[in-house]
Amino acid sequence: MNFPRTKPGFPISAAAHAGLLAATLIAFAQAPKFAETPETVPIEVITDQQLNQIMKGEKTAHAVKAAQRAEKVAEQVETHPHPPQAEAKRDVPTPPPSFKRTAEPSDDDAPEKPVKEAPTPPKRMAALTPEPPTRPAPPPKAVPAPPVKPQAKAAPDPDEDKPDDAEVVKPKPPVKPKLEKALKEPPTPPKPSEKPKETPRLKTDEVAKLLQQKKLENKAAKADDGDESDAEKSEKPSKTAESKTAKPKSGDETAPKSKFSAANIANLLSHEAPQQRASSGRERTQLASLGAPTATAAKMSPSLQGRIDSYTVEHYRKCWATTLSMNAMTYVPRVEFRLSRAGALEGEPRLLNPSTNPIEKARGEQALAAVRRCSPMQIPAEFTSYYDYWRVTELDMKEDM
Amino acid sequence: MTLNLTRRAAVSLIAGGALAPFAPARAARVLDLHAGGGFQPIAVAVTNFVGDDAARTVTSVVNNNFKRSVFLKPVDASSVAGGEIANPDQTPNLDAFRALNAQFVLTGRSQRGGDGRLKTDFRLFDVTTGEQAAGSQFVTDAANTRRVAHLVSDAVFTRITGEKGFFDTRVVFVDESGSKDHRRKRLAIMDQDGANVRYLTRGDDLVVTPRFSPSSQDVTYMAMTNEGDPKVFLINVESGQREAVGNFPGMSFSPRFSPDGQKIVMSLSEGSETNLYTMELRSRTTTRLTDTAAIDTSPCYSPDGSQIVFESDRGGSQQIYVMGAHGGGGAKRISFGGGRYSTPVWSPKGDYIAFTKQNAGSFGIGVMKTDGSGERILTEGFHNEGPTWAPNGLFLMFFRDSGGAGGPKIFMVDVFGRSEFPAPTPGYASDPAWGPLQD
Repeated sequence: MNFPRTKPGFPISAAAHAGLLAATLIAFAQAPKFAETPETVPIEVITDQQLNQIMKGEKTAHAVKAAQRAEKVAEQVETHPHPPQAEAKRDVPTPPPSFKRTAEPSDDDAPEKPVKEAPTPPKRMAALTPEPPTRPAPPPKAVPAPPVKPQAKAAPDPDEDKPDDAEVVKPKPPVKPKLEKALKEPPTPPKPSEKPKETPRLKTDEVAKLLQQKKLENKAAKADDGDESDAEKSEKPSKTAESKTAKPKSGDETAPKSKFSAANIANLLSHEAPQQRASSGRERTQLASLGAPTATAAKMSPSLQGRIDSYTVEHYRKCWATTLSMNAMTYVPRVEFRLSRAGALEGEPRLLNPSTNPIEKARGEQALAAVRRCSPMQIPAEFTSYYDYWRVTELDMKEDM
Repeated sequence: MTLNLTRRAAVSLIAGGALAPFAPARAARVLDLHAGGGFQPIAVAVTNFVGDDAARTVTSVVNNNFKRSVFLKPVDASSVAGGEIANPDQTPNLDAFRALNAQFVLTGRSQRGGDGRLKTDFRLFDVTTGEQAAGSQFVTDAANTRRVAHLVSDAVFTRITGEKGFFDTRVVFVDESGSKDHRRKRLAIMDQDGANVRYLTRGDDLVVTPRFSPSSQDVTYMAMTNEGDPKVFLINVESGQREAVGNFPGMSFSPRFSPDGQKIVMSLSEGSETNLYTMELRSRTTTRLTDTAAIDTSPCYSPDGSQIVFESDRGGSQQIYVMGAHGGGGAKRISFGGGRYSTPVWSPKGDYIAFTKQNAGSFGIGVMKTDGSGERILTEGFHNEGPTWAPNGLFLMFFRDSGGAGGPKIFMVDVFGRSEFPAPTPGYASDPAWGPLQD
């Protein structure tokens, strides 16, 4: 190409463009990388009050009655969820369950291993589930606890790893607490020595008597225990009542506990003197924190919610068959129904989205009939404490997947 | 320690705790419940109707109807007090029926009054609520016992499923007798359950493709007379009066009524062409709908009268086409599977078109949506042909000629393809045409 000197436009322009392009490329290549964005962590901001509320639980909750022993009062080892050793004080081998289970501070921290003896543990665990948040560890233990219980007496070891017995304790809410006191001794897993003490078990009638007494005492003393005591009392006094796991909630527990302890101690002293189940000072406190099982479902673990939901769905599915319809049935009847504690239908099921189309109307009626036919529903023991969660249900009754 | 715990607890609780105040206090949980099993018919316990022999007839006709209904299933009530109900007006002992897994209980009475008329009433009880779900009374001539039973069956069927019934209907068909070489074909009519068979023609002419009017007691059909070409005839089933629809130079076949009963659509052959025509019954005016060199036949109106589905080989093989009821072109092909499609019929519900499909020696009766999608074959075999819809769009009748020395027989199938029932005709039978619910 010849570029006449008199017309230098083209080459100059080409060179300029090339230079600009090169400069740009170089500049970009050298540009600093963006800083790596830090991983985002979800943060929930809560206020002091909320935290306190969480720790403290609800005043109106049915607090787990802490097993309380007079002796224990002395040893408040609270806020130690772990050291079982601390509680080794069981001086008295007592069976009488008459101890009130108030949220004794002393019992609080000691996660009783009473669970071991409690025959009913599985239930308890469910009841106490709300507490888990504070004790990350406990929940898992709860599961192994029950099986261990039987041997608990025999082998201290299992106890040891139950520092988290707290969970195990959970199950105990009903009656057990009272019995727990007596049983406390035995449960204290960490002490093999205690084992021997565990042996004394209350005779049933004694326990019953004590329970009666306890009932009265508890009623008087524990205003706030409210239902818990009733629940406890109603439970069969079984010797093996598991001890409530005192979930040591640091700090917060003290407040409620102190409230109880004064009254409880007085009551206990007045009645139970001879029979202390000297549990090692660990109080089985039903940590009334986090509210009672009757608190909202938010306190349930998601896996438990899932179990209750799938149990319900599998149950009602037996009565719900697919429809014959050439066009995919787009109408999905939504049926709302309420269950009593025993799983029986309360009132009539209700169709929330009735239709005027005759075929859809017939389908809606079939949906209501299906719910009626499949009622009542057997409620497994582990769900009974979560009545609030499954009391009202809405079913979207769909076709086959 | 306290501090530690708090912090620890706080960390672990942050999400849950923060949400706690926001969790709904007692909200109902909402669960998805997918149906647990395949379709189950709804069980109805049919108790013995109280009354005289009419009551016994009603009970057995109702039982038989439910057995063929696919949606309902009759439960034998004889284990509960022998199936007898002392007072059909009262709620029966529902616990006993619940134990039979019945969802509904039907009670009733049927007896002749002093004036000779038959008075029938029924009550349907819902076992899950204990309340009466339906009840009605009918008065009719004593000769109509079976019709009353069909009316009771329809009322129960509609109440439970929401669909229209089909029991109080009649079917026109071609009764075949004689040897294969000298087959005598007569036009006949019967109740949908096979009772009350009556012959409408003597059998001198060979009759084919009868079609019921949707609005009157008239049947149109084609007859091959010995003298001339096949002709379309109109016959009134009550009076037996018959007339020729028109004089057409060419052959005419496949006549069908329009939904309002005022027109007949049919195909006429002229030379090598066969095209569709409509004729006003009153004025006898004819209108040509298609104009192709192909063979267009087997026309059928949509239930709203706006479209016509028909069979044509204009594309090279027999396929199904849909066009506007006024013709004039614009026919759209809707059958695309392998094989040849013929005898299309539009469901009275308007949602499906049934057809005969022939593929590699096998004949099947199938349904497809009106745009051609969702094709399903309901029954297959050698020589299944000629579907006709029940007036509620849920059942089809067709005929099957298994070949050999025997002859064709009529069968009923539900549109879901779940069950097939033979229609009990006195002899061989073909070309069924299902009539509307009688009023």
